[in-house]
Amino acid sequence: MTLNFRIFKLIGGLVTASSLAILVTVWLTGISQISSQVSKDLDVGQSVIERVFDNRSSLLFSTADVLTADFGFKQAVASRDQYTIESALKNHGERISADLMVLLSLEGETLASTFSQLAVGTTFTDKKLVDNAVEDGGVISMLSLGGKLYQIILLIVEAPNPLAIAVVGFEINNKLINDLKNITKLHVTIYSSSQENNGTYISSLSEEYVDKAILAEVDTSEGLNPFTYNSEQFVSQHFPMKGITVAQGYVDVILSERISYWFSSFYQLLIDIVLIGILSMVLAILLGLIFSHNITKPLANLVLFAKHIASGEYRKKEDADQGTKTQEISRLEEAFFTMQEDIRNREETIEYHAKYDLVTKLFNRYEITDLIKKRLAAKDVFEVISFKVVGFREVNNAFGYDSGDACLESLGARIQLLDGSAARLGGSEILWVPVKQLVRSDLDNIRDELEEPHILKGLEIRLKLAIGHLVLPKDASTVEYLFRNLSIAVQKAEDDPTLYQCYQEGMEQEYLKRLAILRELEIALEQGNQEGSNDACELDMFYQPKLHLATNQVTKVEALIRWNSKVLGFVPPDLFIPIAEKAGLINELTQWVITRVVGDLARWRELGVHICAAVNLSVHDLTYAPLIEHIQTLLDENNIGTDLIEFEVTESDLMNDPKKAILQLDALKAMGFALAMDDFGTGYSSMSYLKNMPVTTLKIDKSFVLNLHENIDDQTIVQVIIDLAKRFDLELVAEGVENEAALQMLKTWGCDYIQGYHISKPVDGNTLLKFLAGYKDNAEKLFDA
Amino acid sequence: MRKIAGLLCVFFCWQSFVFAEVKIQVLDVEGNPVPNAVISLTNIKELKPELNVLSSESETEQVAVMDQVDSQFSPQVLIVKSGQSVVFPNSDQVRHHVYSFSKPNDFEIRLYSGNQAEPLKFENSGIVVLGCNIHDQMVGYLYVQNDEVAGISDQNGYVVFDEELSASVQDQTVNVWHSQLSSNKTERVTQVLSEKNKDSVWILRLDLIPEVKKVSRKFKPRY
Repeated sequence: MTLNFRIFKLIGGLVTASSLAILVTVWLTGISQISSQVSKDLDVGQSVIERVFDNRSSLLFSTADVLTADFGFKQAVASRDQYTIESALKNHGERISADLMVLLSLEGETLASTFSQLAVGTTFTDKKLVDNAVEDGGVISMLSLGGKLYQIILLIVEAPNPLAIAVVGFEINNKLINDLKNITKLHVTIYSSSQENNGTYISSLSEEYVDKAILAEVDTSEGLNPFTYNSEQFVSQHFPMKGITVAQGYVDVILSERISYWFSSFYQLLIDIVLIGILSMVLAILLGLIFSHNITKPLANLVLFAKHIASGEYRKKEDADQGTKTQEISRLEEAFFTMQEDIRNREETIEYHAKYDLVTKLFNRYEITDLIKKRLAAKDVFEVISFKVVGFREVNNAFGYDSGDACLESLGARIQLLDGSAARLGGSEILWVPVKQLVRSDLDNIRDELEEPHILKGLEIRLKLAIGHLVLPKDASTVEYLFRNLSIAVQKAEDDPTLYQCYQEGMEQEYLKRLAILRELEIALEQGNQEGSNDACELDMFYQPKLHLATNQVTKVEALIRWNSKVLGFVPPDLFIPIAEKAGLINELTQWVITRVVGDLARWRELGVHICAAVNLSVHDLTYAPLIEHIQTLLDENNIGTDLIEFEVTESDLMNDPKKAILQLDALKAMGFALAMDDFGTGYSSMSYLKNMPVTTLKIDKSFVLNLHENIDDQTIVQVIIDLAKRFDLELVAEGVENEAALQMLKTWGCDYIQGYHISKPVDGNTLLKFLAGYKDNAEKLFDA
Repeated sequence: MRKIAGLLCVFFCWQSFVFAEVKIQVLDVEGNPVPNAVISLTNIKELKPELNVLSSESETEQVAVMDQVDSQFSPQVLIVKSGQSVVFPNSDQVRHHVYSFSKPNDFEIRLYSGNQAEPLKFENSGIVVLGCNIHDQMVGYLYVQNDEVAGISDQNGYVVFDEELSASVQDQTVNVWHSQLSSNKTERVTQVLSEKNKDSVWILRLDLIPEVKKVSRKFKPRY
């Protein structure tokens, strides 16, 4: 049900109900009012008429009394002469304008008459009336004669004793009736009924209504029923005329009025009320329409408004209907606007989230994917550049994730300024699709700009960016390939000193191989970690002896991991170690290595071989706190002292973040382990750090040693390093010794240990044991030679 | 001689009817005494022709007086013998116009005062209703008797006859007149005495009609 209809029903119902109530009330009240009014009017009329006839009776008496008291009249009566009496009657009758003058004997015999209908000698019609007159001295009555009504008085003529009865009569004529009618405002009928006449009347009513009035069906006492109301009907009140004596029959006064007389105004009132009701109804409906329109129009607008919102179309506030509104509607509308605003904002946010990266304010991956798809579909030739922050994890670690995000934001802002579309792919990698074709130098310039220090909350952060560069559709025909190849290129770039890599064919295969290595390595590690499965394990430990030149004894070995994959074949550590480092497998790998080495050492001890093994640690291992705990546990379990384990860390790893490295190494050193700096000479060591580095050993990189016997420069470098080590009181190991000449040189210069093919290549544990046994025997020979 | 005879007669009667005095009380139907009723014994001559003492010449020659005092006839009822003269002195300051239409004794004495009016002789027996033309309330009656013994009841309704008349009373038939016995006030009725009270007083009950008083201007409605 619509609001319109409800309001219409409410108002219409109210008006109808109140109109009906008024109508009924007026009806009931009116009828009762009319009834009582009619009753009252008739009662008043009755009183008036009674009073009038009373007065008439008095007048009649007075006049008749004067007449009968007249001495002359008495004398005439006493004369007993009919004609004398008649002339006297006539004379005196004229004096008082009587219509009827008769003299009766006390017995009722007509003695004299001026009225032909009462002839002399006849007996007066009503003997009882005569007797009354004699008894009371007089009587007033009504006489019907010749169709006319007379009010008569019978009065005895006293001389001084009663002599006769004088009858004086006045006709009740139309003038009187009309006078009465004028006084009472009612129709007056006087009706006489006696034995002699069958109802004589005189009435102010016209002939046709007299009978109805006389025989009026409606009596006021019965109440008036407007339903049976008939305009021909009369309301009448019958009452006997007071003050007159009628021996036989009766004289009634009938006051009557047609019902319509009273009802005409009443019906007019009812009609008026009905008209007013109808008018009010029409007015109410109009007002209701306006009112409901005022309510529903804004509501309809709001409905439309809501639909617009639902369909995602946002209208302006100004577009809303500016008609008159109730406060509630205005509030509702305001709520709608607020809702619209909120929805729009949220939608924008969602849309933004769907399209943009929140940190960098650049597009997100999905958005740029769409964009690239379109361009690919359009067969455009375009470039895709990927910037990746090198070592972003360190930034996060050092400055916190907020700062990391801030860096990315700042970087994003700068990239945003470049021509083209940019998107964050995740982590610290940002993809850029330039508008123009770029050459390498352009990219370097851009990178310089982007690498400018980022000032964040007073911090100056420098970022290094690796760049992957693809040209589409040459380097990738689909978005999937694009992301993979881009990733390959960027990873490649990260490993490249120039931090730039343009995608080249074959990279994909390399990448796939890396993936395979990683996968297989995981499997191998899993197998290796299962106890008692050393034989089945693809991973194995090889050991390369280190010859102590001073004693010509092999007292130390370097533990080197070997992986013979059933699937991939032999995989060199140079290949899979970086992959493990990148994939986060290095800790696990190191743990395996240490476990294995400690196990081997323990086994060898059983065989009476006491030898110190050096284990290579990745820089990632240094930051892995559980490692130390693991080592400690292993040593305790196998009862191996810390003197039998050495750790080697490459110079470049240490020098990447020397402060942190020093902290980690300090912990190991504190446990009693000897620590060696591997590949020394290639890592641009800072002398100041070197001074503080808690290492006990320097391992000269094999690049300086391999050609030592031929290369003067290498000889100088090695000599200097040896000299430096000695001055810092560090043990020195030279790697890559492959000939006797180099051995001799190093021995001469005072190098502590040598390691290389000249002594032995890396061998498995059993071979090492044989070598050691044989070497002991041949040691002297070796030196001697 | 006649006087002596009369005296003798009275004496005899007295001798023969000690305490034979006749007393009649006139009462209305309700038992109230009715004054001014005239009770007459009409057959007195037939019964006792010798006792015509009341119609003696001397009495007839006496002039009866119907005075008018305070606009009323006084007495209201006066018994006169036929042929007796009645004088109508006016004792009031106002004049009176005394008249009667009672035929044949009708007369009229126009406005007069004091003793201006000459005595009038009433020859015919009957009731003469007296009125005054200017004072309607003045009504008087002359009872003109002829050969009868009549008496007027006093305030207590008593009429007393001499013992010598008692014989006529004995037949228990009397004529009675009272103004309220008939509507024209002149009718006489004959009644039989049949009732005596414990004091040997005859009780005569009259059915009087109410006196018509036209003082009120309205007549009570009948029926």
